Amino acid sequence: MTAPTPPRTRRHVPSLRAAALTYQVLVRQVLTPGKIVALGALGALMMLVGWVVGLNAGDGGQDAAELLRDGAGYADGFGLIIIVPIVSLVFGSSVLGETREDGTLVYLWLRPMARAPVVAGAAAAAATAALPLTVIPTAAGGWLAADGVAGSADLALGAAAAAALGTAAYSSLFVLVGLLLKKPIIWGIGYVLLWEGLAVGLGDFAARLSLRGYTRSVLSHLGGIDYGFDPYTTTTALVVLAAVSVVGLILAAVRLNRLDVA
Amino acid sequence: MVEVNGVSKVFGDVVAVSDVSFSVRAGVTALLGPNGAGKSTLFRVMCGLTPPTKGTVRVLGADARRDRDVRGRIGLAPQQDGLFDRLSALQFVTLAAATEAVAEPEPAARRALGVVDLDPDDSKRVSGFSKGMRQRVKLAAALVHDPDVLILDEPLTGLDPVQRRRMIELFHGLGDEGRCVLVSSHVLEEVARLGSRILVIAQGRLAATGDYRELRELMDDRPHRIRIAVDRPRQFAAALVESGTAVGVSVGADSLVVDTRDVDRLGREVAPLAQRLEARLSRVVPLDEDLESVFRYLVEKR
Repeated sequence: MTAPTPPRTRRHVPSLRAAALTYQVLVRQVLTPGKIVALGALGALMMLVGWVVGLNAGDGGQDAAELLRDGAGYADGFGLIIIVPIVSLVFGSSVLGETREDGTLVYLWLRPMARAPVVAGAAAAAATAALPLTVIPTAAGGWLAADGVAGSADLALGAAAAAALGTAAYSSLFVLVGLLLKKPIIWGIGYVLLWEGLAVGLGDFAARLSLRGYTRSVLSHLGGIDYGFDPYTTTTALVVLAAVSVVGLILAAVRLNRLDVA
Repeated sequence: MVEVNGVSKVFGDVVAVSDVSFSVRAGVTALLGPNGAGKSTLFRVMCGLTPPTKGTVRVLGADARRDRDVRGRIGLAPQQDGLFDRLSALQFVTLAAATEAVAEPEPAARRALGVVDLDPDDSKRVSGFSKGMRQRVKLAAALVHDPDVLILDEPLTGLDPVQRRRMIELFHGLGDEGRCVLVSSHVLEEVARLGSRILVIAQGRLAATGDYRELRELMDDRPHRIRIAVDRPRQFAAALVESGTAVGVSVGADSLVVDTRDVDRLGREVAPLAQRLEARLSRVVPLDEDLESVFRYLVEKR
């Protein structure tokens, strides 16, 4: 028996290649049938309830603008507050967190690759897995709840954009949580319910520290709806959501670099 | 190629590695120790996977935790069984090659899988592999980028005797090519075949280093402890002490425990002695044949 023929090697993996390789393997790892079924069922529930709400819409004599507001409220209350953070939590916290638990992280860690592209690839994998399960139910649920009145298409577009941006920001944040904490799902659910769910009601300062206000602003502005609870301009909301995504990734890269790897 | 200086690693109240120093050159070196002795922790520290609490480690002159170049020159087969389970062996090893910056990952992966006697065209996911096959996938992934330093944590576990022999030949081949191959094991007989240079670690400390034969002699020289169940334990004990076979004896109601430096001689003497004393001999049981006792002896003696 002989050793393998020495292959030609470069000593570093370029950043884009490192991100692509990480993405490629982790997107397959994170998308398990159990997660798809459970989270898909949550999305289906949102669309079903939205359809029932839409069937009864107009019974109270509301006009189209009111129906749109109701639809936006539904997309916000079920989609942006529950589905987007929960689905992002499941995929974001597990994408590197599970590799850490099962010992496979070593196959990405002990490599001539920078940490930031590994984290970026992982967050992209989590977001890819999460996006169809957040965007479709949020947009379709809002549209169905508004009973498809004129302007519902814009509402669906705004809801889709808000869900997509929210998913990116939450995924990034939960990748960090998955590297920082054991049992990240429990901590994450606590954060989603207690902070994101209640913070908006605790006053201006607390609301600024939650993502919910920014995603609902995107929904309101891009959906062209006078929603009545859109505290930030579109630009502010987009900048903050993008900044949260980037800062989350930077902190996760720092954490990954300092990690004790099993 | 690998320098370990005064390394300690503490997890909370547990001292996993305590003030260990050694250097390893090209060739095969075996790290021998019982389960829980600190072998895997030491390997993790060497690879930079966890920082030492105290001391320094240099692999090819650098700290693998900080130096990306050096990380690309180490091949690690970790002890834990986790693999990316949704991939086939070829996909897994190709990924390893690509993340190790190998220019042509798939051909390199095919070669590495061939070296460990796995079929590159087997499309089955690694989750369906046996323990031995998973071990060989890990080995292929560690070899695929032609590393200068190979760190293999219990790589022979789960392999059948033929595969073990082939892997040991492979390790020697890699060592002869000038690579530094560090292999851990808790099985003495495995280590005997792995190589002449041995590091013995027990309870987190380096208990002995050097040539396998020297170590074997040291271990053969230790007192052995044997329990003899007999109906006249006092007379039996007196006779064994008188003959010089026993260096220590403790006597119970229906048995005695004998410490001896010459276990073969004791074996030869027991039956005739029972006959001579007209004693009824029911059992002779070695009490310290486990590895733990061998290591304990080495630690206490050194």
